Amino acid sequence: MTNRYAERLALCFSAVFPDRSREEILSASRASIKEWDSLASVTLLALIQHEFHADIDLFDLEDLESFQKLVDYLERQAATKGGDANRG
Amino acid sequence: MTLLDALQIINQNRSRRRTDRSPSYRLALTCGFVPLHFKTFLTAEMVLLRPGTGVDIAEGLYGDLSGSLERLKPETCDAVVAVIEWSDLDARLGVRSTGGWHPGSLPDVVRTAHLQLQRIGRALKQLGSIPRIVVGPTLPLPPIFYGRPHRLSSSESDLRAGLAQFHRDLLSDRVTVIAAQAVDMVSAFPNRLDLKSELAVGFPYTMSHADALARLVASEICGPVRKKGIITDLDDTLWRGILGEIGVHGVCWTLEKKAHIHALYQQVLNSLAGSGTLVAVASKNDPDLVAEALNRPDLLLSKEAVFPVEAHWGPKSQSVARILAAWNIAADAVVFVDDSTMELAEVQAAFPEMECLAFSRDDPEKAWDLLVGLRDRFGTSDLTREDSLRVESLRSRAAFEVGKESAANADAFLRDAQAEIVFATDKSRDPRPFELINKTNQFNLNGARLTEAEWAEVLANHGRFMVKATYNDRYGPLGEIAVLVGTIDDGRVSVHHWVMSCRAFSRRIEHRCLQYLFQRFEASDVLLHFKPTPRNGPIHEFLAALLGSEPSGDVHLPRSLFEKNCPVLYHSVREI
Repeated sequence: MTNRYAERLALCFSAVFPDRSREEILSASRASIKEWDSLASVTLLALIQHEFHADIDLFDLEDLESFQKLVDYLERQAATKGGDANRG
Repeated sequence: MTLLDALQIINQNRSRRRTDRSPSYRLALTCGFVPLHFKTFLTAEMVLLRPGTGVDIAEGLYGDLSGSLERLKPETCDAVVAVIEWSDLDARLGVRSTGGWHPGSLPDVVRTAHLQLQRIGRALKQLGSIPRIVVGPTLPLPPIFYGRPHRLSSSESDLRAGLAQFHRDLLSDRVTVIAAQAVDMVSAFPNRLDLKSELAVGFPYTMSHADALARLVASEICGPVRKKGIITDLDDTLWRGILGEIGVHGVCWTLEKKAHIHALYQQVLNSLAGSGTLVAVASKNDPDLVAEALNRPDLLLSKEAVFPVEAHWGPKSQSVARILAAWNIAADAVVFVDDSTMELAEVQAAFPEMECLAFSRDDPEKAWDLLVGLRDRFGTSDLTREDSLRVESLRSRAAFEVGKESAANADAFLRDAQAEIVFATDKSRDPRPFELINKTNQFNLNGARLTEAEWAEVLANHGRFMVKATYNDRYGPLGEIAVLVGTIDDGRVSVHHWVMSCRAFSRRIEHRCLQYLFQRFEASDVLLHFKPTPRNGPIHEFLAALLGSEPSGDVHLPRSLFEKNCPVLYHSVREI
């Protein structure tokens, strides 16, 4: 685990994909997780918004198609907004 | 509860149940929106209320609430929840439609909404064999009306009138309708609609609203068992003041004396008594003074509604023990109310299963919460004849016990009791047998409870019989006190459910019930599906006495053995 965003994000992924191992979650992408459909995306979005106090646009979510891309997105958002995503 | 909490609760329950083959509770959730997080919260809340049980929630089609209800087959689910929002009544009352908000279209919107409500009502009526719960609309109406939003328009008034009539019709059809006020209490109106989410993904609720509404619905589906009795303190609880210090006319409960909260408490107790709740008094006081005070004509709690009254200087726990014995019910079915934290602690220590609640005489908000909480614990949807008879029959029982002690022997006493038992075998929609089966613990053949769907099957199945017994003697009526449900195969009667109110013990009614079965069905043998439970000792002892040995499972009772061991029965019997 590289940073605390990844740690907390993994918790969100585990809640939405409970049958996936930690390794599968850390390398998760829409292609590798067949349960990652549009409803799962919406649930993930809601969890991430709440857990990270992040305001993610649904249109952005379309491009955030892997675990790592979401980590990068949260880090970028924290850096630019100075904030909310750093809370924890 | 957060969404993450809810998902984790569901996942943990799923892991625990991997090896459990017991059936899950099957709930049909019908709504016009994507149920999404509401379904997640509802599942989690139900798991919390039914630990260890699986919960499967099936959803209907998006945008087709009434169609989903119409297609639903009652045998595929244990209950149905319909969450209605304005857009289900006419898409123009939602935000995802562009059907037009022109003033000229308003009469048509109202007419369509009324038709849609009728359609939903018909579909729910068709599902009459399973519990049906309706909630909503919970969201604000869109700015469709041409007046200023804070003014009620005639169109909105018509819309709401149609909704009120719809709810009234549902109640007549025994559908549970969650009151709008109950939703208002747990979810602030301005914080319910998540317009962004509704427009983006078709889920209209904020997280807080979805969570609050799910908790409310779950508590309706698998809420706590209704309590049976309340034991109240007097001084600074039922009335303001210390009776022993200021006398019978010094204690008060009026606005003028700044003691009105006690009047409200008295009103609630009187109402609870009128709807079948047992009310007793436990007070450290002079018993003569208490009797005089309870006789005051301005008391808002009828003295006839209170039984028994325990007034003395001994510990409250002793009073409570005597009251429980007089009522013959368990401590977990009773609530104790007192203003003294010390008394509450003393009773709680003696009866850990009892709910002990504080009466806050100087904090109206807390007292108000107590009154609402009492309604929640004792609320009932049906008033039966037995509800109004309950206190009277308890007094009869007390008189019966006194008479029994003073009689030369049990037989002499029972012979003089002038008892009459009326047996009925009709399967009318009388709520009492269902209530008895689902709340009786002590004289209960096997402890089995029935869902409304299973009860509907009992009523509809011609292969099943039901026998109801109503009792009356010189000490007063007990009402409908016993129910037997079973089947008959080749002259053998099988009894699957047999319950009798604990108020009816010691009268040989159970013997008469068995005798009635043998005679009515000309049976040579009765099979009783007995199962010992932690609380059905009385029926266990009854069967052991009849059999001459301890029963451990199904009991085959030949008529010859029953007749050999049955004591003399003195009741007159009538059949209707």
